[in-house]
Amino acid sequence: MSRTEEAPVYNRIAQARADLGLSRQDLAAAVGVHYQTIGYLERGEYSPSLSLALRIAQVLEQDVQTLFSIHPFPEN
Amino acid sequence: MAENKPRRIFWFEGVTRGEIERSLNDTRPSALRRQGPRRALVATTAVVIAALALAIFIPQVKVKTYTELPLLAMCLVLYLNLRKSVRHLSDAPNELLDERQIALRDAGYTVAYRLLASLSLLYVGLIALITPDGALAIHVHSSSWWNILMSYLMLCGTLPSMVLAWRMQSEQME
Repeated sequence: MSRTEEAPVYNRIAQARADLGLSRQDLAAAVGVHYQTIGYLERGEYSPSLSLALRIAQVLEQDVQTLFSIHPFPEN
Repeated sequence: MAENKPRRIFWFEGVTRGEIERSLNDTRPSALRRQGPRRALVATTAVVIAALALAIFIPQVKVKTYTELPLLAMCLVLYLNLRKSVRHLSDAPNELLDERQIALRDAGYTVAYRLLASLSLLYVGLIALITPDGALAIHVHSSSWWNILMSYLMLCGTLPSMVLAWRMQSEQME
């Protein structure tokens, strides 16, 4: 399977970020990416590298597997 | 140990740190952030670059000169706007981009290289067409080489931005 055909990676970044009261700019600055990249991640339009996923999980004080999944998260 | 001073000018890439940072962080609304206008810009640039090369077939030298100079000026203006439309991603060095932007830029370069290789054949064909000793020799003014060279250089310079501008989705307001 090519990179472009990869299964989507679902995430709960938006929810975890809101819980901590962080803006996209705050999270972007903390993990060292452009603020637009956070938007792409939250909309599921970009799948992060392992390194970025770990950094996001660390800043959002969550485990990576709580934050990211290859299966859709149940609706709250 | 003294830290390395961050580079302000990237000579090889032809950009400055300030230019890239301003462009990446620009939040002002612009038509160039939408896919439709960006694609129109790409199509216009392609037409102008092709017209610059095909101007060699204008027989009158004066008309040819009056045609090619505005075309060249248009090429430069379009080139600068194309760079702006993709937030200078195609020219930016790795150290000023994040992983998504680098992936986007590199994917664009792969397509741009393949396109350039194919389009180079068209230029070779054009040169073969006007070579004085060639079987298909078409009489053109001796300054025609300049047109072909300028058109090809503009193509090389703009193609990475053209590909990115064509492929990038409309930006969403963050």
